Amino acid sequence: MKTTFLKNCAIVFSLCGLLFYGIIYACGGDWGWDYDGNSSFTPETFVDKSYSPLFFSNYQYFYGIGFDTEHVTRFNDEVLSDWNGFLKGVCSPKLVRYFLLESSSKDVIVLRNYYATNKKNTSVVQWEKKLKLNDPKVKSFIQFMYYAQILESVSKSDSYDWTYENKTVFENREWLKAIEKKYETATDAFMKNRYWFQTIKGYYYFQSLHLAANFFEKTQASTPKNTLYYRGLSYIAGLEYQTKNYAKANYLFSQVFDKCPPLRVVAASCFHPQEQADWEQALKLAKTNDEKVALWAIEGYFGDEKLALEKIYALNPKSEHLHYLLTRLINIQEQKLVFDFAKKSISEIKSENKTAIDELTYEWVVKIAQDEKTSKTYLWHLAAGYLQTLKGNFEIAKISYAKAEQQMPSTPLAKSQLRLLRFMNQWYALEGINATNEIALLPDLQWLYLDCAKKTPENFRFYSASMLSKMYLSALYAKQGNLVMAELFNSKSGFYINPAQLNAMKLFLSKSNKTAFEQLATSIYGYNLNDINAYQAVEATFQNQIPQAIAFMEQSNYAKEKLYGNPFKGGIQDCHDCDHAEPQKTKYSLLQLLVIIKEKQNNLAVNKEIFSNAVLLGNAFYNITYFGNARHFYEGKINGYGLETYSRTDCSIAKMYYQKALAAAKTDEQKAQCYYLLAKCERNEYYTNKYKNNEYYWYWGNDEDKINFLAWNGFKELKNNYSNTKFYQEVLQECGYFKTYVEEGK
Amino acid sequence: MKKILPLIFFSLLLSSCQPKERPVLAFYYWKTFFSLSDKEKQTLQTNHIATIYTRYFDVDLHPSNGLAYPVSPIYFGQSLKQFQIIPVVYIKNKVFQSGITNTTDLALKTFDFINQINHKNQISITEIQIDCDWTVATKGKYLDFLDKLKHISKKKLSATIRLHQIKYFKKTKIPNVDYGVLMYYNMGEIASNTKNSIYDSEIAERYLTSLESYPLRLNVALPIFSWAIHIRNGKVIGLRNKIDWHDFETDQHFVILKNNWLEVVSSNYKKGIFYRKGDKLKPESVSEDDLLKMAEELAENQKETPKRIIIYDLDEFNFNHYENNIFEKLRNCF
Repeated sequence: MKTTFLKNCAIVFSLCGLLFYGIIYACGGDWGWDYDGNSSFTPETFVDKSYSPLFFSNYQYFYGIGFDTEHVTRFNDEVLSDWNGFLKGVCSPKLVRYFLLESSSKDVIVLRNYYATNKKNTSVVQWEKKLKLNDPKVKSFIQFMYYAQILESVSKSDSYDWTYENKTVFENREWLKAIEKKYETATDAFMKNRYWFQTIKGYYYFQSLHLAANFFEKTQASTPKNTLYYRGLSYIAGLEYQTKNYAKANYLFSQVFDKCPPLRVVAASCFHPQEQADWEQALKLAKTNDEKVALWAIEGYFGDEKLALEKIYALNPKSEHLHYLLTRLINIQEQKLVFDFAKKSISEIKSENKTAIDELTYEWVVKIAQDEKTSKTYLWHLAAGYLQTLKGNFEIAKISYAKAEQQMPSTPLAKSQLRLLRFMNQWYALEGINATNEIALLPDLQWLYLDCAKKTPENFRFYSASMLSKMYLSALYAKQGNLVMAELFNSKSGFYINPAQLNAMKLFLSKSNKTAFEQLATSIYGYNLNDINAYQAVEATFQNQIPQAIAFMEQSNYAKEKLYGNPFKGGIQDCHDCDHAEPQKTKYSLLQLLVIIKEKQNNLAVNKEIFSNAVLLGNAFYNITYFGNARHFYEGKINGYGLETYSRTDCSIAKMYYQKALAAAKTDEQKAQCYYLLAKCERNEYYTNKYKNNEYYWYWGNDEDKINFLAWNGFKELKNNYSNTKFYQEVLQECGYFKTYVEEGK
Repeated sequence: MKKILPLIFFSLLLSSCQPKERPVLAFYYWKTFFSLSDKEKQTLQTNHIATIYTRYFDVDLHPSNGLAYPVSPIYFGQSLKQFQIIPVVYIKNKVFQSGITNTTDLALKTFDFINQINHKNQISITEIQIDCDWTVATKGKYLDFLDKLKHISKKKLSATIRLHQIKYFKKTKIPNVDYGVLMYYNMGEIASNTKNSIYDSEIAERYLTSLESYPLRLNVALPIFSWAIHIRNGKVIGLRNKIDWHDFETDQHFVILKNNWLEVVSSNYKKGIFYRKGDKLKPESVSEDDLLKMAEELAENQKETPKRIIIYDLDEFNFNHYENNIFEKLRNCF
């Protein structure tokens, strides 16, 4: 029997949740919510899985699951197991599953009719072969299914479909009478229990609180307090809520929350105080301490978790509910931490975080941990230790962690969580860093940066601590003037622009006798000597210092990288993809390009074939800029890739060579070509300056002035003096801007 | 020829002296149960309002199977024979982001669902409006959906247009509908700063000049709603609609701050929301002066006078903040 549960209630509530989130997204804007934020406290460590959807989440309605969508399937496994137990030996599990969960209603009706009339048809005969039809348990099962499936047609109806009619009201009064009778006359305890639940469920979908509550009152004392009982209780609570008896409804939901773990997320969905008065009234309905605890336990999810914790602790320090609320408390406090290493000093960060953690919360958690009255003292010691670390009480934190270690179950997750927080207590305490510190930190750094990157227990939160420790250690090194170590732990863009820093890093990386700590720092660093030498090669190239460029490139494995197109080609249109796709006998490597540039420069120096060498050199220096087909020349880990590298826009070296070529040009065709190539450089300069600061251009293409091009000098020359050349015709064909320019002049 | 000239001149003079037609008023109705209070009925009558743009349902993606489905359809508590009802369907942009969404299927289902609602409530319609904050990424599917819907329904079709879709219409494209409705509100970000997210003249200014060149005929929608932004630890945690500010001001759990915000002095539940000690509530609304200013801005910048002004939204609660003749004043701005 499939089950839907509190469909109306849960759906309304989850829709409210959906609509709420809808408003956020519809209106756009940055709500400042991060996933996980700076969390290093894994709630799953010591808290039962049934609380998991109620862990603190910044951006999901329910942690880990988003919205609860298990309404139809939540109890499938349990139901199967119950019925398999009852029908053991008389009905195979496969058939039990078929009748309960698959489309079996036609067969159920056929068999039920057989039981009612004793008439066999071909279907019945078929079934006789598979099933002991006359076994009393099988008969009970089938008859039960018959009733259950009638109700299911309403309870299981999909309210997510495109039907306007409200189908979830059940109006079959005969059915209700019959089912209650079935309950009363059942002799077998199992069947009686099943019929009891169907009766309540029926009254729920019939939407009568009066009938449901009456029946419940009459029968609850003799009903076993199992899952079915709490599912039934939830239906009653739902009806109370729909009748606007909020206090009663919330009180009942808290009972469900307390006693039925699979229904915790449902109870939390439906629990909903409307006004302070009905919340206080609900509290008055609680007769025992346990009932009061249950109310605070569920309310703590919505309201003030610290207040709920205090109330529960005062009523029953051994309550299991304390633990999930504690994780919420800690995760919520973590949200207030700020680690702005870019703008603040270490001492500022530590002092602000210390203030950010609420002082009363801190004192209370520490006290409860010390009292050791809860049922998971190790969780409280862990939480206290973490807060003590954040408050700067490092020695005391060590004691808390030691106690946690002594008392806790040694699961992989627990061990990892403890190690992480203990380690944080170590590095967060440092005001400076020396060789002794480094040796002490090393094992945990290796674990955090290397081991955790490969494999960790499920749900273990370590990423934030990993990042923060790197930034913290980097800041310590920077404070002490050790820029190389600072850079290794937290790479900053622009580090290599400073030659002293670059050389210092090269020296360090080339060291053969690095300490174990230095080796670790090197292994977590994003760049290596190949990257740096290639970077230097590119820098030298853009200063036209080719011998130096070659020397650097030879020391880098980037030297073998192949360019996609011919870097010496200078076309009318800059079509990189076209150039890359053109067939080439051999593709140039980065080093080869530099070597050939050197050759051509040597030729120029002795005035050998000035024009062609100058043009080719111009093309080469053009193509290695952002505008050319050999961007790959300067791409690399330090320079970046693609859009990150738009800064390589300077075509002045190319321009210089094109001007040399122009000076040496003999024919009109040659001169025309040079003027055009110079025009390209002029154009690139114009675009670079124009769009340098226009942040919206890349997305909206919003050209306020609507100017696509100017009358470049080259254009003017071509038009005025070289209109009789073949080249002029080619440009007219291929360059739309030139064509426009020429035609507008007419 | 000479005799005709003065005639032509005279008729030209006449036509240029004719008063511009003022726009007609209408309302948006955005609740899930349609039932008009006496005050609401009166306001409609006094202002001769015959048309109500009624939200019929939203469309969102199912949380587990990712298929589009109708959310919170409206139910009607009274007859509406005296009004022209124009159904509005609000479709979340993510519906069009989904690869599973088929525009023909969605158009058919949407129109069918509208018909189911009409049939049950004996409403007949000649027009449909779609409300969707589409983006450059979803424009293909969304515009296609509108085409299909128009074709299937054979009704007049309009679509809401937001300011960024006016300014960047070359990127976001223009829906192929009979007219658009400019939602002249919700311009800013919902944030814990001092700005008003509903109307901000600085933000508006950035978009107004684009109105002139927008190729689709536009009617305008103006806001009379208010809400409070719920802030905790400097971060926005929710929007609270239809806050009875006086009720909160006189509630002992809250205190009025200098900037007219409210601060929670003791934690409490109110109208189903938990207000934690230290939380703040930032009220946002549009004053009468601002509302008139908005109307004037639009009148100055649109090339054509809109035929309709649609007020968001029809709720007695909203009327309390304005003079009775505000709607007439709005008409006169154009």
